[in-house]
Amino acid sequence: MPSSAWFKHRLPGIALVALLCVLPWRLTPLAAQTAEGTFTEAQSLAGQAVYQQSCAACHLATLGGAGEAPPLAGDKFAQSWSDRTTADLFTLVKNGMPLGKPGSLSDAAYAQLVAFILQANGAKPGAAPLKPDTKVAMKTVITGVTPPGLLVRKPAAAPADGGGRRVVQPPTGVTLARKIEHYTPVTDAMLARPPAGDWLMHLHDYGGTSFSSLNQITVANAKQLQLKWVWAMDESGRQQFNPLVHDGVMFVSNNLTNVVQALDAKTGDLLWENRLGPTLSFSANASRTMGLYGNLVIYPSSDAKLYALDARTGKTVWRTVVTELNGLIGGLNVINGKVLIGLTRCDERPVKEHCYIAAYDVNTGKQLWKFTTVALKGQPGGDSWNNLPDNQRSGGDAWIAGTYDPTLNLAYWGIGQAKPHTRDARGSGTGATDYTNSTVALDADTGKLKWYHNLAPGETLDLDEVFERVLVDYDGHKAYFTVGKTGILWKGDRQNGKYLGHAETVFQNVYTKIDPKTGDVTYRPDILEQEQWLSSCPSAEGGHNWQAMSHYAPADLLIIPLSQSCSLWGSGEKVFPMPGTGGKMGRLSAYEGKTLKPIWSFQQSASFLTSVVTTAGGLAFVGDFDRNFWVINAQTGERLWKARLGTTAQGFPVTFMVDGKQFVAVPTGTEGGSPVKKPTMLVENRTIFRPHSGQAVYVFALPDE
Amino acid sequence: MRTSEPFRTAFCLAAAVMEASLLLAGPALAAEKFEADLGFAPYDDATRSDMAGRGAVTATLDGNTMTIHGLFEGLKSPATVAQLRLGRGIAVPGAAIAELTIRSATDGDLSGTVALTASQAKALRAGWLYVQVESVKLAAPYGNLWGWLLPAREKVADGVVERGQRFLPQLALPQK
Repeated sequence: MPSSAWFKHRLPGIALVALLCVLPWRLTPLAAQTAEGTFTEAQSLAGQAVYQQSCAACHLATLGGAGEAPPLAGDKFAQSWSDRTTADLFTLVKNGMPLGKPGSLSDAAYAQLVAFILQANGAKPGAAPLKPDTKVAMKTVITGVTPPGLLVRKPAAAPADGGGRRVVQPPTGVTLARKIEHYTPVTDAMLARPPAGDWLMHLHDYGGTSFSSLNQITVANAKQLQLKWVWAMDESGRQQFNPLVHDGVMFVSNNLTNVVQALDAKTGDLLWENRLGPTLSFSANASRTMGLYGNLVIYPSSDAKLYALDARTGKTVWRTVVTELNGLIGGLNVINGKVLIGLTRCDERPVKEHCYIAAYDVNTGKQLWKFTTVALKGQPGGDSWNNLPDNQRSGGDAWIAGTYDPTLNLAYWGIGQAKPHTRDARGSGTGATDYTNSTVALDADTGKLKWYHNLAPGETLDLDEVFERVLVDYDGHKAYFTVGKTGILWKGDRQNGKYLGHAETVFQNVYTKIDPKTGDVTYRPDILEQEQWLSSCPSAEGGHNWQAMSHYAPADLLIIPLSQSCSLWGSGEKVFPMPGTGGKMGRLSAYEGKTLKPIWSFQQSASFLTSVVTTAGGLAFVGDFDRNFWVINAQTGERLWKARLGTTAQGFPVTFMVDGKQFVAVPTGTEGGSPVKKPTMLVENRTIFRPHSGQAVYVFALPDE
Repeated sequence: MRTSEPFRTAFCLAAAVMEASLLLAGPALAAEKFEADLGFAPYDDATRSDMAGRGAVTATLDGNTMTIHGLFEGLKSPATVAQLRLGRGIAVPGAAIAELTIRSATDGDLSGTVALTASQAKALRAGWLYVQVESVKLAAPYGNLWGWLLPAREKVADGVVERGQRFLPQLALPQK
């Protein structure tokens, strides 16, 4: 029998052996832990077809994720799902997807989808099919490594019912062709100084003020507003459009079907209709903007084509294919005979086509210039990407229309965030990733960069600074204002981009310091440490999003729709109410432009999902998630009147005048990105209930005398 | 979820008792008051159907002694754990520093008395402390409800206009 001394001598070795017996469970690569048989090969193949039809538009064919859609394969996915089960994944997918239509697929289709995601993460098929209640620890089946060839295999035919969606092909082309007589061509002079009764462009004017000089509807009589007409729009899709009005004609567009219509703005009668098509089952983008010039209506279709239609008949005058790659058309405006558009959704790496802002001849559709929105090697800011090859510099979406200063001949655009969203995923290190999150000032004739100012260098939480640039002049100096997702109202000099000031409009925990002299931001330390789950207030919904502010000129007030939610952000997003708000998601606040002083503010349960329009009648118009269309006293913030609509007020209200009578119009819509997803998660079916149909445009006016 | 009247009444009574005890305590008049709305802890579509409930917490700091009272209602499964936690910023989650007493029910109350260190008291004044409630269905790391302790202040109802600079935690509180 060995002696105790022997034991004492051997103890370290015994301990080491014992340790090695335990350690393999910790050190063996995940690949070695996989179990088989959670789903069948046939399920995965069918799931691949469902995925391509219902998911790939956002999460990409590679499952790599883009924009607000998280990656569904890879290391990050495997890490973040390591402590959950296949049943959790089934529940998450069924409760949340497809976007805007959760639960619309059959349980069998969801199981197929989950099977495909599992296989794309290295899980091996077996003989037993996956069921909704199959509860297997994810870490025992997935590795995060996609089997070679899986994504290029030929998937099974899509389910006959489209995975739960019925696809109907409507007629195409001009289906009603009345000619509008006495239509006055829109001139450069009109665009520079819009006629009081018209709404000729996105956000009303080149300065993006969303302020109208109409003053028939006032603080005193707003309570008398009544519905004049409603026009139903095609259902589904991210309906967030901006009606345009000229000469008593309202032009509207339907996002998913690409149907453009002209309506009598006084009566709501249809004047012409062009069903351009195609009819899509889903789009990751919203067409928010159109343009008017001469006798043309410029329409960016949701399949990345630019159309010029005859505003009098609806007939197509020219058509240009903007891109045949994955990009889509974001913002649009018309300047000096050029159609400026921004390209968005250019997410995949290696990059085949960078996002850009481009100008097209308004009479021919020919491209005149192009400005790439990420700084490439050798360009100003090109050294801010941690030496990444140009084809790894992704993002910089130009999805919000820019504004324009005719005296400086400069176009001002906000640029979206770098992709992938996090620094470590994109490999950009501590680089600023110019020109993402920047204001860029471009020569409108040539597209040459005059200056840029990066408001969120090296951003890493999907909190981009892309939204409206509102131009306001003060006693000889030219300012621009913008609010990004952090909810910070920035003021800059639009001649040189210099920082002029800022105001924090909602709670934010992203920056610990904002330099009052330069505007330089300091990130919270753990954000730069890139921990797996990072707290982000505001959430990716943003304190502010595409719902534009308005500059109420009579009192120099910037009236801003704001949102209050937070998230833990990693591979996916977990949401929670913003501290200090009592769970109220919506806030409307007014700041004095000259001083950036807060003037008034109120909050409510429902997020505001329209832009703000102000008028010389002393009013602000805005709509919310809970179907309310509000009239607010612009000076005081007092709520004066509301109408309850069919569904969520969403898009860009406008006001206009026909035959001496002022009207105000507001669109409704049901789907969207994070500004819709966050209230859907936090308040819908808890305190707020709304129909998921009812897209339309509602038009109000005072009673007829 | 709308706050029910019994809940409101119970909470107001608890707050009144706390106020009365503070008055009787004399020197404790100088105690600092904090409050938290107990709202949803971080969740996603996988746990959405289990996420429900709300509540409110009041806390006083007298010297280094922190006294916490709270009520909650509407959980979908009974509460299991309540903790006072120290975050790494406002709304940045962190580790537990004290266990609180909580009724194991879907509606109930919680309470506790905690001796804070100087740095914890400083963190409280910066808004970095929070109360986390876990339930049978929604356990750690984030639980079912959480609420960040911020200085007590007047509640503002929906649509009521605030003039000038309103309360923004990052501006109002001394951050590290």
